[in-house]
Amino acid sequence: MDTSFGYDSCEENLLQELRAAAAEVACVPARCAAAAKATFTWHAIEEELQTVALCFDSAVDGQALVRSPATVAPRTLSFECDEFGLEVEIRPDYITGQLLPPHSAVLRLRAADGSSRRARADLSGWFVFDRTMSGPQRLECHLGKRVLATEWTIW
Amino acid sequence: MELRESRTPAQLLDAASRGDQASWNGLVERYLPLVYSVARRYRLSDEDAADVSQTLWLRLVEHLGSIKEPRALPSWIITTTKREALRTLAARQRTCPVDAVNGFDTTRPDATDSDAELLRAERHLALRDGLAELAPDDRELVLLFICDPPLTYSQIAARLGVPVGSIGPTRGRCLAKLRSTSSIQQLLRAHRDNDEGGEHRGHLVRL
Repeated sequence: MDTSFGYDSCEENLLQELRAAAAEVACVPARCAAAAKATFTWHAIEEELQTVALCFDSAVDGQALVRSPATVAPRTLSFECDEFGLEVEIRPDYITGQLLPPHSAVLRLRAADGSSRRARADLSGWFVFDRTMSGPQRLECHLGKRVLATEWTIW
Repeated sequence: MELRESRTPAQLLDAASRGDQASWNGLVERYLPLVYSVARRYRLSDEDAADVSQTLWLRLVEHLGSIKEPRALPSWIITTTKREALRTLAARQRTCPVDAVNGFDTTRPDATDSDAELLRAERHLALRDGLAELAPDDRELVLLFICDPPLTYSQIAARLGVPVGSIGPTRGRCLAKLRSTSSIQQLLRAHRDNDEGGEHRGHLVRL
């Protein structure tokens, strides 16, 4: 057994840390706990989906942070898996993007509570969604019997 | 403070990956304070911190079946929460990049502070896990010593029906049991293995 804690003079420090550890439990809002538990409803569904991983986000992977509102470029995200890709551009009022390789398909923008918006990508793979939902979301793409879904992301 | 979960994280992960909601709830109760405390380090709004937390849990649902090493879960949680918090901060700064009064960005903590905070978050998780490992009587005893507002030794002695003089030794014994729990021993071993130059050890000795 390790004896590093075996000094009486450390007891007060240990109790201080325990108080802080307990306080962290107390300050979690109840709605966060309820929302976290509710995410498990996606467990059964995940198995039927193929995840498309987020591999680029200009907000964190891009160049140095932009300093002037005049030069703010829209945030762009890239998702990829195997032969399939999604490029997305986030605008204040809408989200636009393209399926790669370009093709027509039905897309859904899904929120964590299950609500969704539907859009169709045109023959060039382009699509647009209004930004009407909040919180983490993902794009689901129906390709024949396959359903591809991006990782959950805060847009 | 919910500390009654007696199953190990590995058992909870295993049952949750087979579809058991109660085990998932157990994971949430165990790790949500860690997630939320890491998210709050980045001075996000309450709403953004809640979104970061929600994203973490959604990602964990996605990865449930592929976690091979349950012991690595806390560090996966910390890393993922940190990354999503930074992403959210960066995305917010793009929409309103300049604070008209204070100038550019005052919200991102510097890396050193953040690393120290993450070590602290890890320590607090180990302490909560250690408390959960204790026998119920020992746990109740430890909780008496960290009551808020604090209790005096005489108040504690009165509650336990024992002489005041025995409280000091009682406190020493229950804290020694806490220190010997596998959660805290594992934390000590991890820090000893990673220890380069002794900078982390200071935190543990202070415990």
